[in-house]
Amino acid sequence: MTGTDWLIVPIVAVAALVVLRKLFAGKSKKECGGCSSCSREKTTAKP
Amino acid sequence: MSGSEKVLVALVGHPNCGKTALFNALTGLRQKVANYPGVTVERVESDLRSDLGHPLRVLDLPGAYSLNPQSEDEKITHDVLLGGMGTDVRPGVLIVVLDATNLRLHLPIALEVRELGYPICVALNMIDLAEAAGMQLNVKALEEALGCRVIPTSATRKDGLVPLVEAAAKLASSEFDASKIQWAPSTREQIILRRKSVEDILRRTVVVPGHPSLFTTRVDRFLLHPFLGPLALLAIVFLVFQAVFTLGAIPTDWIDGVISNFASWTRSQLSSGMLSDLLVDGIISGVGAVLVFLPQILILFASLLILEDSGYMARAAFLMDRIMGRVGLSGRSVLPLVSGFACAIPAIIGSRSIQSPAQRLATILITPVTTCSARLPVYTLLIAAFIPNTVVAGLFGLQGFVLTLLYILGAVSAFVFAGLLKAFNLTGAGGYFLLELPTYRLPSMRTVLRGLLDRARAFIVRAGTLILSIMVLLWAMSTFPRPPEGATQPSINYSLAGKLGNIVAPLLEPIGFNWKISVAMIPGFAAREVLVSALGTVYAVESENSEDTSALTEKLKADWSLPTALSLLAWYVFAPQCLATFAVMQREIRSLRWTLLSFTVLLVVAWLAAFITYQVAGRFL
Repeated sequence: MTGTDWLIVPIVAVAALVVLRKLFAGKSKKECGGCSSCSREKTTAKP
Repeated sequence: MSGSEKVLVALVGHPNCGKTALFNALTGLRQKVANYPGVTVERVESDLRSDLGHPLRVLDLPGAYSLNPQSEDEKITHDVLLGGMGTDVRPGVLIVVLDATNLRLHLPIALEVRELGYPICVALNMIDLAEAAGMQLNVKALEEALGCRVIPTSATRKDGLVPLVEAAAKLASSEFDASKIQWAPSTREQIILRRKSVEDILRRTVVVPGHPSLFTTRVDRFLLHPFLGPLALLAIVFLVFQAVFTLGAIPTDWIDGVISNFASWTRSQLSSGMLSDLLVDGIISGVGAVLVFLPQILILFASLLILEDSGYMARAAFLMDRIMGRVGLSGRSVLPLVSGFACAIPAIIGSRSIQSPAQRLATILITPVTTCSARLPVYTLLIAAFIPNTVVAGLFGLQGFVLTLLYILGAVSAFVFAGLLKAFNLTGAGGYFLLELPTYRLPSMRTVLRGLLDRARAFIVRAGTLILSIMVLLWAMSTFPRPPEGATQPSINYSLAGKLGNIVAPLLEPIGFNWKISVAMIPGFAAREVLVSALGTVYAVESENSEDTSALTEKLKADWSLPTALSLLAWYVFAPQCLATFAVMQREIRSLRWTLLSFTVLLVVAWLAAFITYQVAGRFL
């Protein structure tokens, strides 16, 4: 690795955290399941 | 004052009387509204808008025709008002929402709720439509008849909100103990008595014009005609998908150009190295590949929103009822299935409005086959790459025609699956289907634009968070480990992704998928559209020429045969590539057996469909 290439390490680490969080953190009460197609995440729905 | 200390004001009424529109107006939220019954299937609560000046919480409930629940969504309303399983907080005030244009149908629930003893006031909603239809409503007389405040409102125009909130706040300050509420299912005599009261109230309070508007009747004569109606439905579906391609092409090309230029510019600004590769090959190529489909997704959503808000969607359900009956379902299943064109998740949740548990289960099980919008990027990418953009019969584009065929294939497959479930005695007879057909109205520009803005934002946020993160990881997997000294093959072949792809490849070789598709398919199980991003990243990393910023369609055209592309399309009609859908399915049906069975069957059917397509296309094309 040379120059600014070391920057890929924190970028990959943050990406891994985001994906792991999505996979294992579970859904908050405010979310329906994470689809791209509606705005349900803004609700305070209590299924 | 904390949220829990505020008095809860619940909105109660029939389906499609405008409760959710009123809820949105009172709270500033943007819950989904549409012009057909059964849109809201769960309780949603939020604080009253602060500028309305009272510390109240507002609770939106699913519509109910009576307090005696016939479906899962009506049960939620029943449990909240009468204290059932899982309800902890009871409302202190009820606002009964009535459709002013159809009081004969809506008044009985007001009388039934009044008998409970809750402090109530009435929102006489859609008053603007009633007045436009020439109806004269005597609000004072209605107040006397119902024994409570009646406030004319128009939720879409935000008229009457202040007096409504004032009335609710006044009721909230009175002493009331919800735990003393008693209820028993209405007897036949009580129902007849209520009907008589309704007729009596109508005589005293409502003057209907001698010649009511015949617009809806006239239009329905054509749109609900036994022969012309289904033809009109087909024509509407066909036009929507033609629009997706023809109207979507210009902004899509424009966004594609911007992303390409941005990739070239980024590459030119950075010295060549891994950071440059990550930004260009991983992030810009991957996220850009899915972002270019935003215009087409928005055109599809705009069409659905316009059809929903105009009142046509309920007609579509009516037209489909007879066909659905043949496979053990009813028109009631059509509404959630149609919303599955946007996303399977709200469609599965929306099936709560189906009364029969067996029909509800069958509807949920076939929902993943309806063509959700996440498939659209995959379909349009492959169609744009492999189907010539020619005009057929001088009328319609071949690409739009193929897209329509894919949607029809999804719908027909759902129909066949439902038939199989019926054959195994799962769904039983179709049963009766009662649906209130709403009056046609011009779609509200505000509703449509808000819906589009929300969905565009959700799509971009998702592309910028989850998809971006997956692409960064996929880039890392496609880049490391680095090729050994003196390596002769492309570097991706030595990477972790390359090795994984080669492990999965034997399973997918018979259906024509190369190892690069196999690699892209793995993150594609998180969500369908991720496949497009993943292909963008894999092909960008694989390209040894860093100056190659040609569109993904060109790269696929050069690398795949037509049978491979058709096979992937067939795979995507059935493949269960959205884990969130199955998580919600499990939550709704609470049966791991059915959820796993559904996932497995769809996976096997996807493989078989792709295999047959690849083999047949390989012989004849």
